[in-house]
Amino acid sequence: MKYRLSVSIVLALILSLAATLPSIAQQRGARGAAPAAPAGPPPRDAKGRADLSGMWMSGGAPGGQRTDAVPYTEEARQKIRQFQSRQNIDDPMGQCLLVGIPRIYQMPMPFRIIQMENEVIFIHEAFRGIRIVPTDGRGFPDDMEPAYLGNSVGRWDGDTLVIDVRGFNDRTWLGFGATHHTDQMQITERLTRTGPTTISYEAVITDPGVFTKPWVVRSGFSLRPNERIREYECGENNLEIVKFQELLKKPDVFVDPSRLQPRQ
Amino acid sequence: MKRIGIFIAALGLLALATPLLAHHSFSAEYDGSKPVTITGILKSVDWRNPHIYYLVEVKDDSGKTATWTLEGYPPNMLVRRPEGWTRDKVLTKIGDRVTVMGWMSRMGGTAAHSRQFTFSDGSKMESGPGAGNGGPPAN
Repeated sequence: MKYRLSVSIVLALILSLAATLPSIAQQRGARGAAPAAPAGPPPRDAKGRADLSGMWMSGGAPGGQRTDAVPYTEEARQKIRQFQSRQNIDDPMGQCLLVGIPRIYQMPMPFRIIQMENEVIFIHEAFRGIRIVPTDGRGFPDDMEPAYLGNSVGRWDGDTLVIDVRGFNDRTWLGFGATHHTDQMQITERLTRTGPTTISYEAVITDPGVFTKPWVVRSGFSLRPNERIREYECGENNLEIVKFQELLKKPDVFVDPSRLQPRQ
Repeated sequence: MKRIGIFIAALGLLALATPLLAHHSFSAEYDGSKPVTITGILKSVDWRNPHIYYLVEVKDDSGKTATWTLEGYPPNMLVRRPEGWTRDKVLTKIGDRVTVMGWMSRMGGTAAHSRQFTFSDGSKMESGPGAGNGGPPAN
């Protein structure tokens, strides 16, 4: 059967998804973003701008997983299938490399935003990601180097912080699911403090190297005043690097990529 | 053609069902279709990121012992779970008789990714993904 594998994947995934969703709902109800966030005006800084400062966590996954909905070129999709045939073992995050944008917001760890007069600082617990976003009108540096989190320049559009990010390397995935990209990627982020405890987030991702059109990712963050940034040293006990090399020696672990594609 | 549609749906589900393990691909290393439950003595807890490792000594009916290596959520995820486990609380469980449900390693042997610990006092600790494919977030 040409599609026996895919049908078995469907069954396994439906079962796994069915098991996953109630748990997600349960946990969000228990601890996560409150379904009904308090309404009201956002707090403001000394300059009268909406103040994004605070401890935040993602209120849900900001996308980056549903590769079928991502406007990948056919060539890029073939590369995804190659990664999937290797069970996504090549995910750079598995090597403890710094996670990029927008995936870093998706990590189940908090991040702190500190809004200053002329810059906005992001301190992510996950992978110790730090971004300092100037908002004083300066442009990108002349000597930009390819970076995991890119190079950021911010500006205010009303109550929305708009961040242009350029100068990425190609060593991150945008989420699970082998969402790879090239160093041609550019992202425009929009963060809007929509209320006392909420920020809405949008990322418009362009990459002529892999996308046929911009991919728009939307999410939300919820205020977590009781959280604190803990240390997260990913490289200390990352046994996967060794284990994955052992797994690669077991051909039965991996899926033949030709079986992941419908045949003519 | 219908099957192609199912296949595409499967890819979507695959993506959707693998959202938030904090660090690496679950399916590369563990088989979500092979659950396992063991009972034994918790010998050690290696409380470090990006994953905690637990060693549990299991004795079979013939008296032969085997040491199981169980991977778990990283400390930074575990401490944010609603059960309220902290490093100190978990370390007090060393020496306890525990029952652990998890997912078998693709490498075989006595290795698995833990899903849930049940301690001798009846308390439980969700220590890994729920569905074997990445599992729910810990927030």
